[in-house]
Amino acid sequence: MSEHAIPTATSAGMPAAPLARWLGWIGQRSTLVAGLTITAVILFVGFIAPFLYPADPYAIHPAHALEGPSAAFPLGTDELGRDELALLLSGGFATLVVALPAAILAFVVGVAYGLAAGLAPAWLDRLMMRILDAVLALPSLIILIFFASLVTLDNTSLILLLGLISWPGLARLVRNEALAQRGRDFVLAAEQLGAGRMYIARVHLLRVMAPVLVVNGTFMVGDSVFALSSLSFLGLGVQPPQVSWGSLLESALDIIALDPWWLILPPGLLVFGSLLAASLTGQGLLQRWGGHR
Amino acid sequence: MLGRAHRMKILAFFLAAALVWPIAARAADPHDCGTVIVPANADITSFSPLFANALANGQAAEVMYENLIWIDRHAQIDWSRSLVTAITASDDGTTYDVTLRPWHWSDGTLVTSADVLYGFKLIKELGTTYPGYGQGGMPDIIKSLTATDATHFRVVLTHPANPTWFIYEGLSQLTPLPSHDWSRYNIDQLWQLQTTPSFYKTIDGPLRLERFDIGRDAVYVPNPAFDGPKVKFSRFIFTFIEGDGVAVQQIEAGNIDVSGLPTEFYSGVQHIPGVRIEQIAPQASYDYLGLNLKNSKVAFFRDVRVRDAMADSQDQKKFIQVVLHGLGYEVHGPVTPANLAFEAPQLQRGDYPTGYDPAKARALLKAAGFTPGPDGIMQKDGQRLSFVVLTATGSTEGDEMIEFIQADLRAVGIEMKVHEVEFNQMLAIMNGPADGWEAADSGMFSNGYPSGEGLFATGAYLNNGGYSDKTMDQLINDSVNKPGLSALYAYEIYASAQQPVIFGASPAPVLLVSDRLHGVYDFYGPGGLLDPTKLYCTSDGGTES
Amino acid sequence: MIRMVGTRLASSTLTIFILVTMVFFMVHLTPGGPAYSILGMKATAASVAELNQRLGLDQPIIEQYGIWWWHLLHGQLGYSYLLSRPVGELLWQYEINTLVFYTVSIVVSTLLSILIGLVQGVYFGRWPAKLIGGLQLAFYALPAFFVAAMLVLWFSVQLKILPASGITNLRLADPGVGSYAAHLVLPVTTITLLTVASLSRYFGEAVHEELGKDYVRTARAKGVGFPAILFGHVLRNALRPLVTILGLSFPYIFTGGVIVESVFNYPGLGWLMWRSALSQDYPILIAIVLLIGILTVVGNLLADLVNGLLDPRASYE
Repeated sequence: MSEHAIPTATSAGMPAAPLARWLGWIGQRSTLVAGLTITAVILFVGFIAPFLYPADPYAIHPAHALEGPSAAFPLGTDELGRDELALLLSGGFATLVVALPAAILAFVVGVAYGLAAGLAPAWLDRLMMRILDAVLALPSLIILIFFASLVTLDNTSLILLLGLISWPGLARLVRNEALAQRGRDFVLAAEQLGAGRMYIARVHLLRVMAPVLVVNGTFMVGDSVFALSSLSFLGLGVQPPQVSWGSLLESALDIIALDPWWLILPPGLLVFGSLLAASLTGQGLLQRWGGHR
Repeated sequence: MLGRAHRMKILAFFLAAALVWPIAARAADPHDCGTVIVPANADITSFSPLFANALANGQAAEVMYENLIWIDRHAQIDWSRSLVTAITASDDGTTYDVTLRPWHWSDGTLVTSADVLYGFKLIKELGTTYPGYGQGGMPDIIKSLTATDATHFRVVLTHPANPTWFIYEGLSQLTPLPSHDWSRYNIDQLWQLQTTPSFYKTIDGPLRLERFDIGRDAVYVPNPAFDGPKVKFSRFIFTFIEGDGVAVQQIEAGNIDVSGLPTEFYSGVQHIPGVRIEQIAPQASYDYLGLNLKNSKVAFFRDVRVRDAMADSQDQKKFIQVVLHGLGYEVHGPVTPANLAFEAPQLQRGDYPTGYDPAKARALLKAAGFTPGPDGIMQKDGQRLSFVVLTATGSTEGDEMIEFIQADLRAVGIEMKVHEVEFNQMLAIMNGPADGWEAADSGMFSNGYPSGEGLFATGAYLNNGGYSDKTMDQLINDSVNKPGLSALYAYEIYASAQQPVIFGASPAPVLLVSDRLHGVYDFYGPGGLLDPTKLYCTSDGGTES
Repeated sequence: MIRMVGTRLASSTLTIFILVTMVFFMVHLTPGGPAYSILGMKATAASVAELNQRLGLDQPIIEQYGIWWWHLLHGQLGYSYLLSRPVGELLWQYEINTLVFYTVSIVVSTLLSILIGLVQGVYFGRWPAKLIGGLQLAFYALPAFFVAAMLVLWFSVQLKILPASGITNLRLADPGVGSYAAHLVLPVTTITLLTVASLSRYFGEAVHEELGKDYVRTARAKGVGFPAILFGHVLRNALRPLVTILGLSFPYIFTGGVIVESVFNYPGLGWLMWRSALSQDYPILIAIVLLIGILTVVGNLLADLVNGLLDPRASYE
């Protein structure tokens, strides 16, 4: 949909009916609206629905093992007869409660590192960038296995682990932006007036970079959900008996010969939905703020 | 030059021959399987019988080298499949005279006792890194090993031992190795060459390794110089398949001939065409929950009442029924389902010191001073009866078993939390500092004689949990060093009452087999032994003969 | 030019050095070690200690580190503890599989992306481009394991027309190209679906940008046919950012994706890295990391060089 898809009354020079105006408003920001809507759905599924649905995800009903969706089990059952919907909701909570804080952590570290490098003397900046390149090229798998063997993988350690993997991309972006903005008039003026580096960073640079940061931050949330789900898929994320979307998919894949589509689609679609939500929201914000630089 | 009629006759002859030949050929070998593809349960990383640390590697080596002693599913020596024809033990069990049958290496050389001595020399050189170290007392229990002549050798032990125990656990490890081919290599070279197919050119078993695609499959062809019965296929492949479910999918697609059958697939595979379910003889293994008695954080494990309570909480029957579809064996003591011939008569009658009895479990905990806390978990002096169990990733069946154990424990007020790690990390943790682990989900294989010197004796090499009990040590000692079975029986009953580890149910080995393949029951021996000569095929998937 | 290459190589070498050092120490500091993998269930404190001694793992880390660099400078990548083969040989064997897999994937992706991008760029602002744009966003969000699982479900389990795992049919003593090709279809499709989204978007934007440039207007005013403009010049110029992206994804051709390779049981380098990491087979792990580092550098460098070659200043404007 575009600006021209839905003719608003205003484009014809007449006062617009409220509904038409509202539809037009949505149409102009369709990507953003779509993104926010899906985000709301995912957040609901992850944080609210688990407390609304009464079934116990760990209760075993062997007589009803591997059944498709029915009245009793809206999303069917797994190989032990557990309620898939309950598992999905429980897994959603476990996934989001780790992925979101991890994204925030990565965001904070990335911005801090990027600003520090961008405002640092040239030699320090170069060194920091080389280290950053090295971390970027590092296969995250190796880091993850290393830490997974040292610590018990509870929520805290997973948040730290994920957070410490995804910050380099943002750091590089922030540093480039900081370098670009550093030479601009308002920054030079502030320096003239005796403002310290921290002040410049906080007040001026962040303000200017805010749109870029928000957009990238949104993408990072999607990446975080994806990273956690991939980890869980490989057995290194959320630990049993707690399930997550990634681990549900992995269990389903193990029995794929039995055609368990009701065990594969829901967790997959929810991870997909999370990434899509992040993508659309970020894109929408980008479109909205694209010209304000 | 030849007359036309003559040429026609020759042509007719060849045509007739062409028609008759395949029929004749098939009649000559109606059971030829072509290529047989069997899954290995893990990645094959070695073909050397010296370094066979895991089942998959043991089997990969097994088919190339004959066993000295073949122990069948009734825990008896099958002389027809062993390289020895007679073993004479002295009365005190210190001296063993062994006779080898005439047998040849693939280059025509005779298999002699010199080859047995060579194998033993290598075992000693490997020291503690030899996978069979400590089992059957090997190698330190042997005082001397001498060749009387080419087909006879004598073993003298450092002290008297129970002959059955030594023959099954110790003597059986002396696989003859081709000394005339390998003696030019040192140990390091043997280790470096263990996955190189060309290194294994001198063999005495039915199959020869032709090709090895690392991490994927090992391709064997028949050994033309094999002294035993001819195998009935032209290629044999061990293939490594990641995940039980994938194997089922593969056999459904016709890509492999045998597949494991994870329990969750049991109902789903009933109607797959061209495939049948076959239960093979029970394996000499069981699962157990290892307990770390050295860790003061879980000092409650040291109280035998707590351990018995844990054992009594377990409804093995229900687990076998629900998860294993009835295909499993209850295990309450140290005897595996394949060693039942050595089980004490009292236990064979079903009269175990421990068994499913939640009321008794709670009573035991109460007697041990525990009272239920607000969340239902037992506690004593402010400490909750809660522990963390290590499990190795990779098995849905294993995960289900852990969850059942967890649920059953919770029903009597014991909390078990799960920490999943990679298998080799689990081993590292169990061998590490005393407070590094609390419990671990593990399993053990037995060779045939179910004594406990490796697991439950004080300081035993597999005794990671630090269990130590004087009576146990005495009983184990007697079962291993004194003749007869009474000490063994007493040990079994005592171990069942003591639960140094919490013994768990043993799944029955159930396979999916392609309809054209037969003889699978005899192919898989207990304890990982394999006999490829027993496999044969029928083109129409007819009845087993 | 030479100087640019020179400085780039110098700073990249530093990056690789830091990278390898970090991984070396991290990997060696992980508790456990290959001895446990090798000894399996029979691992005891005593046997592990003895094996570590035989493998040289009981020496101080600094010494092992030094020894590793010494071997490297002599062209040896080490010996796999678990698989008993020279690391170089192993890497090469698995590398070939990944090379085939990803090269086919990237070729297919690129061709598709060019096609889609052309349509998107030409029809910019109209419904075909918007539809494509929407699809791109959707496909970009698809998780790899989900795509792979669905493909296996549809084509292997339900329709039974394509194999779900492995590299070839083992039954055949001499599997032909057909067997290899059949086993590549699903993995290649997975990767293609995942990469086409972003690749075609880049290309589409580039095409759109080119079409707005002066030389295009000039050519049209002069009466040159649109197809000629499109395929003659716009295409070539729009390819530049695509080449950059391809250069950046160069390392992935060699290292593969662990998830896709593990779902399809495809024995590539990503799969090897995963197994080596799990069993702590250090030599392979470090060698692969070194490879990734070098390839990233080479990829970036190549992308920049080719970009220079396709510089529009040298073409019709």
